[in-house]
Amino acid sequence: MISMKTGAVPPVVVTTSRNGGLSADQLTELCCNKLIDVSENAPPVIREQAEAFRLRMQHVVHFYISQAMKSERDTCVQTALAGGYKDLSNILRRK
Amino acid sequence: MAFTGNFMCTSFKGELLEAVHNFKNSGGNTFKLALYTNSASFTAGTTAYTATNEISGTGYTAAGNTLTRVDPSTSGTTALTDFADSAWTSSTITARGALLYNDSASGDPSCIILDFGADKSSSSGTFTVQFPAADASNAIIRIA
Repeated sequence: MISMKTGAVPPVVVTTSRNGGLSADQLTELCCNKLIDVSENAPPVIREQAEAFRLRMQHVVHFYISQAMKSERDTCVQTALAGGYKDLSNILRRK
Repeated sequence: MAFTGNFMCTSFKGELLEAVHNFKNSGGNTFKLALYTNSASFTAGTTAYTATNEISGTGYTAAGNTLTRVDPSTSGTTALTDFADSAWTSSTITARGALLYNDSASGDPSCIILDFGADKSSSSGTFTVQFPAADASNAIIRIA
């Protein structure tokens, strides 16, 4: 007999936002969910190290996501300016 | 009726043995994720996509988002596959759960029911569904 078993369907993470896109905090959480998974069954010492590593990675990922958001904003500001939309560029710059 | 948890559809398990579904990134089938209100009554016995109780709202198109497939792989003795996160941007929608189905196969057969646990809403914002880590313990579709 050949026996195979499909795993239980795990929960998905649903993240939403209001009046704009996801924040750097939300994107960092989503990113780290994919990068680092700490098993609940891991030995305590390993688990502690993995969680410390995850925390460190969260800081790094958050920094670069924030930088990417600012960089994209700068690009939008310059594109608006180049298109003659000074008021729009000011709104984007202040946001 | 209401969502009562996550399920892998029984019909989907049978269809895996009939080679109905192809999850390969290149040349695979088109899988979609449709969102529903809590009036939907999906169980493991659900067999196909339905528009009944599907949500509507700004930024949402009926039948849901097309998913980006991740090539099936193996880890130890477990085979698994995954999808990239799916997002509805600039949306104003509320959903309680989702149905993942094969849009390429005849009859739009269902694969997985996802219960979000509560109504989730976006308002002129982004609504993102993230699939779990693609490993032998957590991947959305696993065969051990």
